[in-house]
Amino acid sequence: MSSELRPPEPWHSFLRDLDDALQVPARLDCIGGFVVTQLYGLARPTADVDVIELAPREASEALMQIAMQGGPLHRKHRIYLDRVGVAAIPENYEERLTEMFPGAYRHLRLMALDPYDIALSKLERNSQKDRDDVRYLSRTVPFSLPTLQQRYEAELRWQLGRPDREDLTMKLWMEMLAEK
Amino acid sequence: MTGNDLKSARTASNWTQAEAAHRLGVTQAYLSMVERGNRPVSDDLTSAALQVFPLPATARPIEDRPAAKAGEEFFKRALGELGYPGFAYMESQQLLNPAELLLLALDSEDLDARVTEALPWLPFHFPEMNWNWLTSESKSRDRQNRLAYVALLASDVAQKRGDTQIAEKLHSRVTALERSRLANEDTLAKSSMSQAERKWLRTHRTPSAAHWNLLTDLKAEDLQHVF
Repeated sequence: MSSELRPPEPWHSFLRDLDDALQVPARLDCIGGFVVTQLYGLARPTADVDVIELAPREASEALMQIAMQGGPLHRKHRIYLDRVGVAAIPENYEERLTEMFPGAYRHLRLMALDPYDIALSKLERNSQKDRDDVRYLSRTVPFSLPTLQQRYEAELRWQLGRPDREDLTMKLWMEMLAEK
Repeated sequence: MTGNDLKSARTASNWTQAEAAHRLGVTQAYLSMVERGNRPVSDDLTSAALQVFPLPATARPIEDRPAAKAGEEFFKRALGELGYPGFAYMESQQLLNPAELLLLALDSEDLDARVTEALPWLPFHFPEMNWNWLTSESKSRDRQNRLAYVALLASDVAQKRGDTQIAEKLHSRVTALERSRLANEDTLAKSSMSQAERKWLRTHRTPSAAHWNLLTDLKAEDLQHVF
């Protein structure tokens, strides 16, 4: 896991500009490639920070305007904030958030989802890149497969539109992660 | 690059043959012969022309580079240099012809899934790439099924975006590969795929992926964000 006090470039400059634009404390709940690379050490580039929650609400509109794809900070740094609105996430994820780079910015607090929650947020899409990320997390953390299954059943399954289909995906994942 | 390409680039820049020859470091007589097709465009002249004229990436020379040496970082930087948004922030000195980059990627054993999903972006943005070379080289390496599927994805994305002309052009490339379709099962540059995924993909892949005997679930609808 990363123990750096601030993220590497171009992330630091991008986040510092974002921080400078804030007048009040703001919290970003982060998910996806940015967290997997910065907190769990996967060596792959990503062009965006996937955010599932941005609080307070008053700050979120202004931040998204300058930092979303096509906005001034994207044009300057070639990376951007992406608000992920559709992913189903285990219901108690907020209790398990970890702060990334605490104290690195004046107003901005970057919160990372727990690795099991990150993995489960990818279940519905289940693309090759999602499976690769989940496999990586499973080996690095490392995952307890019964914990993953239990969290799926207790905190995620009831939220899903097609739970029968996702049961099959979960079965695939368990087989895949159990393979050497 | 052909002499005609060179002539088009020169006239688009509104330069006389004498001016262009001076900047390219050759004589006017030699440039005239090259433009008329009486002399081939040498590698040195191609390199000079790429510096002097605003030529497209498809005019870059194609080098004989083994896929094994092109690692994950190489592909990401080369794609970023060509303008692929997902890797555009990465610094790069790689100046590859898009056709060469696509072949190198298709001929890889194990690509990062994010590089694989970037591949249809290449034929979509460079539909005029050297298809004859790409097709022939793909066939000689038994990668035609992978090439056809990537071109098909690019065509489907173009269709969804209303770029009918590009969609038809790319689809004709797919059709041309139909007769050389391989019967053996393959992945889309993902040989490390687990047995569980292989088994799952055999029943969950798209009919097009099944037609091209590829174990992949990459679909055009998954690619809107990368274009």
